[in-house]
Amino acid sequence: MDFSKLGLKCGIEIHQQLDTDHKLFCGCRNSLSDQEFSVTINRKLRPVAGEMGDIDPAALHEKMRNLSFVYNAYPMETCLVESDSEPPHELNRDALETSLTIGMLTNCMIPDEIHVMRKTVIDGSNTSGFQRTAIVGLDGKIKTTFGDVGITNVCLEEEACQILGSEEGRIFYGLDRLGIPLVEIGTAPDIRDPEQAREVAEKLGMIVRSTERVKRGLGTIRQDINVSIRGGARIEIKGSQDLRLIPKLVENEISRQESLIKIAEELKKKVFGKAVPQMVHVSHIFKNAQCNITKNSNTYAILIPCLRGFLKRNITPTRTLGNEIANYARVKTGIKGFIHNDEDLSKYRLIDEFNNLEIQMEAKANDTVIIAVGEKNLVQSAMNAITERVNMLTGGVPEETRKALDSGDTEYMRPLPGASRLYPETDIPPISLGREYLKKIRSGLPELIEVRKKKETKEMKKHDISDEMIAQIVNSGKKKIFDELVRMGFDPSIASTILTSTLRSLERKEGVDISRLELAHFERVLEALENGKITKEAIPGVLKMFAENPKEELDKAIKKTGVKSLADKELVEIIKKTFEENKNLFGEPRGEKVILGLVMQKVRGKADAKKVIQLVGEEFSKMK
Amino acid sequence: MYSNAVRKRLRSAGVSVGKRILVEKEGKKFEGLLMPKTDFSDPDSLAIKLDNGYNIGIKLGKDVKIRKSRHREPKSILEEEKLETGKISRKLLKVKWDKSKPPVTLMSVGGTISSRVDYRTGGVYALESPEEILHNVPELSGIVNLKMEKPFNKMSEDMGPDDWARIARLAAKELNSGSHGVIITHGTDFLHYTAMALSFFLQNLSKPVVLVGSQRSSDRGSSDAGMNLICASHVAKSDIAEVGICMHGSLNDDYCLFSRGTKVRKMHTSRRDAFRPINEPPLARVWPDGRIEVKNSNIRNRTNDRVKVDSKFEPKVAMLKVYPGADPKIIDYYISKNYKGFVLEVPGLGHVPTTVSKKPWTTVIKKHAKDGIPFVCTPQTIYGRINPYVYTNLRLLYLDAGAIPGEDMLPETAYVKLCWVLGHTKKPEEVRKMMLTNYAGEITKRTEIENSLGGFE
Repeated sequence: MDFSKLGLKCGIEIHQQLDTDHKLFCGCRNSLSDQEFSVTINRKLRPVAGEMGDIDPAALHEKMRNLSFVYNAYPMETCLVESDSEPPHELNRDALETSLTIGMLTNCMIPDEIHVMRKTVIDGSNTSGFQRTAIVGLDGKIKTTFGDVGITNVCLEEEACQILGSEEGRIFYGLDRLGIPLVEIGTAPDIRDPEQAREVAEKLGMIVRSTERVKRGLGTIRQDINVSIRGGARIEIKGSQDLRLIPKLVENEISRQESLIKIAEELKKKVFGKAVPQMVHVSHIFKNAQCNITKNSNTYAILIPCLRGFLKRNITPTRTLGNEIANYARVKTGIKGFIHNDEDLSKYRLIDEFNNLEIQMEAKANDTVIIAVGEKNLVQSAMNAITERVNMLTGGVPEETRKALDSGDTEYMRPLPGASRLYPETDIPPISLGREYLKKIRSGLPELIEVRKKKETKEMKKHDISDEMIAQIVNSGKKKIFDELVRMGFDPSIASTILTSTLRSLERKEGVDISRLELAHFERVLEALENGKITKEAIPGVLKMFAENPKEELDKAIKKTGVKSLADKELVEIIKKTFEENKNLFGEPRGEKVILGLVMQKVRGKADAKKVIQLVGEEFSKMK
Repeated sequence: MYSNAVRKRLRSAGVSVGKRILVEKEGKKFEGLLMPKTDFSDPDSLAIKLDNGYNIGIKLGKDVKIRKSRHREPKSILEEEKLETGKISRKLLKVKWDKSKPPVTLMSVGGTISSRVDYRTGGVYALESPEEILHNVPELSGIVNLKMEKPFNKMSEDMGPDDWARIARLAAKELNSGSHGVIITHGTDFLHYTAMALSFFLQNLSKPVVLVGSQRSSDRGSSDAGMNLICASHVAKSDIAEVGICMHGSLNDDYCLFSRGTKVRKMHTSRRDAFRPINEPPLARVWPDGRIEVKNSNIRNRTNDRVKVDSKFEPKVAMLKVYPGADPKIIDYYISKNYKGFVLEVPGLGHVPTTVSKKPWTTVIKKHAKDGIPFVCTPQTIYGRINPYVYTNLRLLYLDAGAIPGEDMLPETAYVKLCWVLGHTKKPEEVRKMMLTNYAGEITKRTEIENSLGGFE
């Protein structure tokens, strides 16, 4: 598909938490708390002049007055700074350095002076009412296989609070996440293909990880994708965790925008005026219906002229316009859903009822009728939301922030926020970087992971190891250990097997924390194997022991694991005993094999399999 | 201020502060609005506001080219710039006062609460029109009918006895001419000194005098100013005819404490609830919805009496902290500079270094006390009461050397009070008698048991 014809514009913004030893503006532990909160703090925010922009100040006041925020504070992860009870401490220099490194790795121009700004945020996710943020790089670019993509800017900023829940008039937040250093990288809308979007996200992820100073794990990196096509509008998609999903998200969004544009064109020819949420109480029609939804509930209906047929249209491969509007109403009002006359009404067993409804509502053939059930005020506000969204249809694509779903679709979250106001953070004077300091960072820039991998892969080709194993060793960052082991004279193929499949099965099947295993552990295990102290089969057990007790001595680890190699004499004893126990098997077809199996069961991990076969064979010949 | 070299280059490029500039550096071009230079930052770096609102600094070296931009500045950026540079054009919520509500005077004398950020210096400066603080607190119009007075504008650390007298005179004038109460917005650092001074200066007080400040500046969404003002307004129209400070009672935005002017002190550098009542419960807890829970039985009620001002004052009083190894000769120095009295912050129940070979404070105090110089001892521990008898050394100080045991007065309260007393009399017996007489709740007869220190709420 030629996306350039559609005028696809796509940009990506990634947010990556940095792995510093304390937060950005205070000495708190840089992590989410695993403890119970120690204190809760209740706050309100008041809108202040300047941040109101075009919003009606009185309305904003009213809204904020009725909203309070409850913050959970934690013993190690929050202090007076997070609670907005103390000015910020000095900017964390490690975080600054990492962010500058990322700025340089993305070929940005680095300012000489960093100005920390206050970005106004009044949803309570920052106790101060603003987020502290600074540009540390601008106008950079990265290469992709589709062409260069511009980097608009790289910012160093503080993480916001984590939302824990909400109820009428109150939002609950965790203060532990507030103030974790975060690097934001925003690309220009240069991405022209859904696959390129994925490539950019992967590349940016690779770049930040190359610093080795970023956090790993769920929630430590977030991607936002901005998508628009010609005639459409900018849509921000939030919360895509899986990079593989990005092309599908973009494609679905393209298809959604195309469909909405087409629907708009068609509707413009048909529709004059606006739909009105004039609601009629129609419970009497549905009183005796065999439908669980309408049973025992108040049912209300509205009529929307000229929309017939549109709600069942697919706007993405799996979602209809009806889904889209229902989702909009649900997010805005909490209503579960609605039923309309474009649907297959037989599945609700409401065919007759809808016929009667259409008659009562005096619906014409091209009119849509929608019903919803519930408490009157809720349904009314839902019907308001539905007509509001319907009335937006002739305008094409409304600018929105949408949430990524695991299916690759998206759903409405909120209107796209206007540009935030930014003011200087006067509690932190501008930070002059100095040429020497920047030079020092530039000369020590880390090698990009992709570059290192290429180099390492090339180097490893000289060994007789499969490409798959090479890739695994390189990707897992174990190349250095592998090289050392080979240099010590151990067999490359055994070393590579241990570093790949052995470790992987330990990690995946037994949940072993293999990150605790170091070169010395592998060295000792391979040495023991060479000396015949243990067998190949015993390796996983000993490594597991080491992972659990990294300081354990080899002999003790072997002893604890119970995998000490059996001496030949001991083996012969076991074989003879097994023969005694299974005399009846002699002369049976396959008897020899069964006995070998039984012996193997007894000595697994304590003797080399080849050796066992050999000895069993010898004992058999003796018997014969 | 930019350096001379930078200004020269700006001039020759035809660029000036407040104009859009094009910068070329490392082969990259970008544009932005040239901002004035923040003090205490590199005078050779241009401060540029980018179109996304961010500011950055670019060192104007030889490798950097600048010229005037041909493009227009985005409107939103111009608005931000106006705010940052103080060319104020703020969208304010105008408050319409309701004449049927109780008339209350709001006296603005400065401080964070009536300041805004100066983005140039990074500090804060006074609002040209202090009314602005009210515009974003429209709730006030539902509580009181406010009248604004602006006698002067100072940060509290710059204030002194003359300012206290001016405030007292204006407060009395307002209360005697129909105001139901006075709210004073004030800086917080020395706020409690003003509260203490007004407590002694305002005689015959018949209506509330409420001092209020803020610990978070009013230009941020999280400012405590709004709730403090709302609670202060409720107090100002209440029946509690006392001088006190009304600010946050906890870290939450839930209620304020109204604490007696002579018994309250800033106990934290930055928390919202920094002002704590000491050695007695607060006068009241006040909620923004108007609920007032009186917590102290020693409260004067509203009357129609005329308020008088007695601001006679002897400023030559020194406040000294007694610490290990401290040399009492410092007292001789002050005496030589014509000081008339001393408030000592002393450790424990009221000691000074006594049986030390070189520097017994008792000897020096005794010598000057004989000459009629008053020494008032107050607890360095802040909490608790001075006792003149428990130890021999205490008796030596108070019974023999003649120091005055300051009971449970705060050191700052004792200081303001001694200045005020010495403004009336220099006679040693009278000074002693007045210092030990309770005038404004500064000395209590009994201290209630509370579960924890500072736990009075």
